[in-house]
Amino acid sequence: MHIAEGALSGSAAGVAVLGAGWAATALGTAIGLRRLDYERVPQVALLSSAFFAISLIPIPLGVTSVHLVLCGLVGLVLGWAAFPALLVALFLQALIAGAGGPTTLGLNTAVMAAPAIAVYAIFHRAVHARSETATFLFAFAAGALGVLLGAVLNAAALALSGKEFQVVAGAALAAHLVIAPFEGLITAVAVVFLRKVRPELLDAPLLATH
Amino acid sequence: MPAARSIRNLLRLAAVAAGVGLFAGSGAQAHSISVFAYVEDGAIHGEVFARGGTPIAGATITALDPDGAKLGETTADAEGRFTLTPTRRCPWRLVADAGEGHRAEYTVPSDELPASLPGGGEQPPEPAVPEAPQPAATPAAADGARKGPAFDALGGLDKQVIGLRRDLEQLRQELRFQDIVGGIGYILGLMGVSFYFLGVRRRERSLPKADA
Repeated sequence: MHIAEGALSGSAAGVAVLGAGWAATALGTAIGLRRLDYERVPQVALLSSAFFAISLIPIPLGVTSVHLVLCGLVGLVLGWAAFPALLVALFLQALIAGAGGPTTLGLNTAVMAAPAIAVYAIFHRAVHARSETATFLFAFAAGALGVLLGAVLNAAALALSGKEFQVVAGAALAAHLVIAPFEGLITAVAVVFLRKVRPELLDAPLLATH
Repeated sequence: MPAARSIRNLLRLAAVAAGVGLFAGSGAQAHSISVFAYVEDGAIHGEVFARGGTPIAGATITALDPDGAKLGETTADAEGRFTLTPTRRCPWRLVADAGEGHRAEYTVPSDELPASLPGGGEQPPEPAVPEAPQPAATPAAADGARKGPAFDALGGLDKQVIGLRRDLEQLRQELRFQDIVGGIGYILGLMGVSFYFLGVRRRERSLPKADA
């Protein structure tokens, strides 16, 4: 789920969308870095590596193939630091795997990081619920919502750029509906595990500056 | 030490990620779609395929010259194949668009195209050979040779070479395990750099206290 280099730069609307993507990413990364603490650096690198590796592994699904993105988990653990983490991971994907390029990096980062932060804002308190079942369910919802929001934003970016995408967007969205439960499951297992062994990992500061 | 604990966690994750990468990395492909084309009997034949070689039906293929002017357009059939008739002898840049931002490119070099085509306006990529007084290698003679009995014997070879080139193109696009490990290495390096700068900031902050 990324927009290829050169796919949008043909039209004025596409250039505007790319510019907006870069602006959002610059702002988000600035906020994320400002809040980044010495102790949290390894977590950012850890989640960045996880995202980088897992989204390069395709899962064949009928005629197409999808991949996990884990942006729900990235958001829950990192909060605003999701922006720098995803920016680094997507930059390396563009460099090494040819997924996207310099003009689309901003938009691709924003498309993945915005859902991460939305999920974080909605669920970061909920995953501290007293019962483990509730934590599991909230984290499941967080993971599933993260990938679906990402797919919707991706489709919206293409639509705003005036691409005729309707036919494919339906299929892509359906593919992500299939992947969403898996994202949810992995996120839920990871969050329940983290809550048990390292609860402090789920305590990314929301608005507090240190 | 929370930092030491985090680093231990990080190493654990790196091991898991490396394991996952080892498991699946070899099958990953750099681009979600690929396009490949070759010239046969004076026409450009091509294929659009997804990861693992699955053909993509209905992709739009636009042919562009080096200046970006459109040379032709076609749509891939149910097997992802398409055919274009070259009109000029210049590099044909084929851009396949499967929608949803999935794009791929492949350039057919001008020297694969029949020499009898018009040389492509003001930028002939190579000296044109049409009526050059070369005794043995005029295009007509070459065409004649291609139809001779010797060529018939080699007929299968052409197909095999095309198959090889397609495999090569697929291999070139493939993402290998070391790429994934390399990327994780870069991220760890960046972590080190940020530790350094955050550490400097922290030391500067704590210095006045140490003096007092």
